[in-house]
Amino acid sequence: MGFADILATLCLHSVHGVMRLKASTTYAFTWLCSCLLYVVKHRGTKIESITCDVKTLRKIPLHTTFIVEEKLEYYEDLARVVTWTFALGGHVVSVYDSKGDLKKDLVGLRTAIVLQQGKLFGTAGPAVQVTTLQDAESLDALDKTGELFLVLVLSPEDGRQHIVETAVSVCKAVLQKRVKIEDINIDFIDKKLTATLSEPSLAIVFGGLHSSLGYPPWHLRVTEIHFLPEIRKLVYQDLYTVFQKYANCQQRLGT
Amino acid sequence: SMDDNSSNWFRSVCCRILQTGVVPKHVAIIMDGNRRFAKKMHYGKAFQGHVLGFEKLKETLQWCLDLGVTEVTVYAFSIENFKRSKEEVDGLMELTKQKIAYLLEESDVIAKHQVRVRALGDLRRLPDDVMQFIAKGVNYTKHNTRAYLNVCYAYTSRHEMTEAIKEMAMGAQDGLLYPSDISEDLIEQCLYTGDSPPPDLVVRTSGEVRLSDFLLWQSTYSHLCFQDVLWPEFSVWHFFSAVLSYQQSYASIQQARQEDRERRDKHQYESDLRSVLEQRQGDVPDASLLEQMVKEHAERRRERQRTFVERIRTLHAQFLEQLCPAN
Repeated sequence: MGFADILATLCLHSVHGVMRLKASTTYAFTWLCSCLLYVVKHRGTKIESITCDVKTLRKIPLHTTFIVEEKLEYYEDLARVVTWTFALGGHVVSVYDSKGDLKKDLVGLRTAIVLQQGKLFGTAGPAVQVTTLQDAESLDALDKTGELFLVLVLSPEDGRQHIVETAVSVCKAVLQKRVKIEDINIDFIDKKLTATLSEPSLAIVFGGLHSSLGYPPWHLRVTEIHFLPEIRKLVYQDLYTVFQKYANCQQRLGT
Repeated sequence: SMDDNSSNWFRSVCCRILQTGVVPKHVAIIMDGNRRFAKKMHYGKAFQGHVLGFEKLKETLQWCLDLGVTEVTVYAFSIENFKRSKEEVDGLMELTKQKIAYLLEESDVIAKHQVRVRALGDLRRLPDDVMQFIAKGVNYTKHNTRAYLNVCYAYTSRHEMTEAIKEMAMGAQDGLLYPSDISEDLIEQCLYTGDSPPPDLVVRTSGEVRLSDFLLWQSTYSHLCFQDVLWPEFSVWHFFSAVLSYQQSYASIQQARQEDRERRDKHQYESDLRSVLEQRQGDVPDASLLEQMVKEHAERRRERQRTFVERIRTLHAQFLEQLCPAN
């Protein structure tokens, strides 16, 4: 490597170093501000305060999804975020990680969420169902009760692989003459893919990586995607800020 | 001028510095904000915003090629955009024709860098004259191989995925494919971007934070960069900043892609194994014979998939070629 190359590499590493330092400093600064304003800002521990926040939001996502990239040692933080989302008016939450670890420990996740629900809502809180797409009954049946909160736990097999399975079943149906080629259009495929998982209006990616990392691609068509640092660093205010941004966004849908 | 020269020099230096790190091979851009820019500058009509947007595309293509990006995919016109006023849609169609005419006659960027221009989308929805212009532009550059510019026109990702599924169903009907041949890799090859690697970096301007039905399948392991600048105001520094952020997440995303690749390969192996066992109807041979049979089945499957993909690509190419009058 020539001298110019070495200098250029050093420059680049310095720039990256400065960017990372800036990100950490910004985080530390906002953390400090939250601490100082602790007296003024609530920390999401009282349902009454959260209910007041709901009134300030013009619109609330019906289905929010959390894409988690860090390896979670315990689920308390994730459970708290899920509970805050329900308190802020959401009805369906899906959680996804690209390694499928969350799905492997459904019991642990369920326990943590029920615990947090109890802490925030008390005994009068609505019931929460934590399940996978493979076990979920059709969403319509669940929505009818209105009193149930749904947490869907997803993994890569619910993403592109699910589209593959749908394509296979469509091909078989065509070969068996149950479906005509002309019937295959966007609505036809959409009905099959969204039977158990609706489109999320809002997606939050935790862990610092700016990518959807295999989350069901069909469903992210017009989803608002936000990025937050690691979930263990999350405070209520971070989630509420994202909800505010969502409430103020304008979806023109191509027009 | 002196200022221009020194800023060009500084830009080259920064470009050179960036190149010591990882450079994305394929960059996808949602060029959003033309109309808001026109409003901000009080132009009266959105059209002027689109004209400036096209100029910005030319500039950005140059920056990409200078950095070493070999493929650029842009979202020029969505199927949803047909819902806009007739005046605006007609204006955009007219602008498209003008710019293709320019491309054919004058463009130095395309010729110098031997850029192949491709049009991805449901081109049949376009008026005949626009389709012919696009066909001419695509055919004019089809022998270029050093870099690629994919223009998504009359495109939505869901439409693209649905067409791929439809084509596979037709392939199954025609006996070219078995349903069990369908895999993530096959779907990927059947999409309009089948020839291209997945985008490494997706940039959206104007501050919106959604994909709006753009490359949903392809971008699932891409680095997403949402920037709060209107497209006609997008500068080389915004571009460099997007590349810097891509470089920072490169290692983690590569690891995630690698794990995805391993998961896919495992799925494919299990699918081939299942097919072989189904054919044997419960009669399981010894391990080494079984391995051999799975390998042979996989080879035959790959052959069917290759033939099928070849057919689709030929059909797509022929559609555009027939739109051009004889050379």
